[in-house]
Amino acid sequence: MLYVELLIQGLIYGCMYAMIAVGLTLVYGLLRILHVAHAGLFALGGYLGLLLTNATGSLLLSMPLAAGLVGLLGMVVYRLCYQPILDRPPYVALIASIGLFIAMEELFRLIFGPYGLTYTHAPLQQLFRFSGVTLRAVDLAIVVGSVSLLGSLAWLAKNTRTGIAWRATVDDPQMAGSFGISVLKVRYLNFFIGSALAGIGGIFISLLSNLVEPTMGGVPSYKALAIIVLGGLGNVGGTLIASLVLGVVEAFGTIFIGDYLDRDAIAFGFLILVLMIRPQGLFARS
Amino acid sequence: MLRLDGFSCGYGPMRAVDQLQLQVSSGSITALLGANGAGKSSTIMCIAGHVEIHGGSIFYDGADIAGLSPMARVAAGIGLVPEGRRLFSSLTVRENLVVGGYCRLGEATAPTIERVLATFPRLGERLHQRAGSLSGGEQQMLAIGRALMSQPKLLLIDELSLGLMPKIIDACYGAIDDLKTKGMAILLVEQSTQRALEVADMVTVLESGRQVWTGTARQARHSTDMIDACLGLKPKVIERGK
Ligand SMILES: Nc1ncnc2c1ncn2[C@@H]1O[C@H](COP(=O)(O)OP(=O)(O)O)[C@@H](O)[C@H]1O
Ligand SMILES: [Mg+2]
Repeated sequence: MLYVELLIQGLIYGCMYAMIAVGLTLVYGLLRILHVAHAGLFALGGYLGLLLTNATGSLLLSMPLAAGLVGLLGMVVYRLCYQPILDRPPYVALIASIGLFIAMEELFRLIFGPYGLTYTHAPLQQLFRFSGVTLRAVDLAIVVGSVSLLGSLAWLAKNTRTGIAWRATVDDPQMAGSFGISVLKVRYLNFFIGSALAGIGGIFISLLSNLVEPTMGGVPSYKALAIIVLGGLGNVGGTLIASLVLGVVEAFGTIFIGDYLDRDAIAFGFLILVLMIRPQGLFARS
Repeated sequence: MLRLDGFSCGYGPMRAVDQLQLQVSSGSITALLGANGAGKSSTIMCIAGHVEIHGGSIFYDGADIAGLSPMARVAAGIGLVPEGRRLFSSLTVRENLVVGGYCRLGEATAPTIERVLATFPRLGERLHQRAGSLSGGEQQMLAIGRALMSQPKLLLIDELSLGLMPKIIDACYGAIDDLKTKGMAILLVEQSTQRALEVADMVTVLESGRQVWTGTARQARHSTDMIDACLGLKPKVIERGK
């Protein structure tokens, strides 16, 4: 039973990582930029979700609202931070992104205070029992929410004109543009969806730990970067699998070697190990 | 259908093609020949709007299109089969065709896809396969099919036969000949002079960005100096300050 519970815990964290990492790998696929500030949007999602829930009393209402706002801000980040420097070498955008991420952390500190905030009435804390395994409602919500959101995204990418245009633009922006696809619209859409998903990921973690704090994006930002490398940069399917694998490795690792290393150290140890063996990632693109 | 007049193009200060005169009429094929680096691809990509024009004009359907975006040119009826094919390799065959017809917004794409599949039945068997997993010949067919999706009046084809097996080359040339009979204007770039001369009506030869020979295909077939010019080329670059 312990193994089942560990597996479930691992998958829950894996889903959350997936929600952050997908947006990151989408940006990389489209623009070849390592969008570090993505983790800032993840943290913002946590803040907005918590504040709106505390204000309105309804998580169901605040979640889409917060996601939408974070998505819009993601578009603003693209417009103000990346678009002006797209023709520069990639490290310029990387430095800009790191700078923006630090600035966002400091802004959170200034606006929301240096200490963490909590939910006044933490939602989704009910316990469920399935043949010996105990789960909180929030655990279920995270798994169901991530799977259905990422599943819908995959369906839309496969079955709509816009989805096809998006994937075509990732493959060859110049050709896609010449066939009448608006590359700019694809970029905005990409930032909106990726950021909104990360925002929801931030809400998920705020629910799991009943806490948001200015630095909450720090560790996820490194982890998500490592995950997308592991998944084969720009490869969405590989990123999803890598997220789940990392979540599960962490969960089992904390039980078996948790006395020596903490959760994050285990995660990074694993990532370093894998990247030493397969530097191109587990699922490098052809 | 297409007329280049004193046409020059290049990359920043680098001049790739200088003072080219060229014409392609409806229902005919003009072959553009030359050694590697002669400027054939630059010419094709400039007509499609992807390379900077340095001088002269591109008359298409009676109007100078030099100022139009690549997308506007596709919409106006200029189809491109670029060098290296540049398919959307992670998309399926069908999705590549859908993108090819993207500018025909509001029109049903299904009948156009049917027509392309009638031209290249092999694509029909691979409709849901990723373009990147196709053989070289199938990829070339798809590249032509994708260009046909915008229902072009002028087709620009760069390196039709490069790296393909003779049987596939025959199939591609068959399709090209068919399109010509139906009235399409085709500008064809080829490494294989012999192949090009078999189908072309007009021939132009480039050497280092300059036009060194032009005439009908019949003249070309009897003109050894043309063949010599074509084979004796060495890639060199014409550089010019802006
Ligand atoms: N993207 C580019 N940037 C700069 N120079 C280029 C580029 N593409 C081609 N060239 C140069 O333009 C000249 C013509 O090349 P190209 O048109 O590709 O020749 P061809 O297709 O006949 O082999 C060559 O000297 C080549 O080096
Ligand atoms: Mg070429």
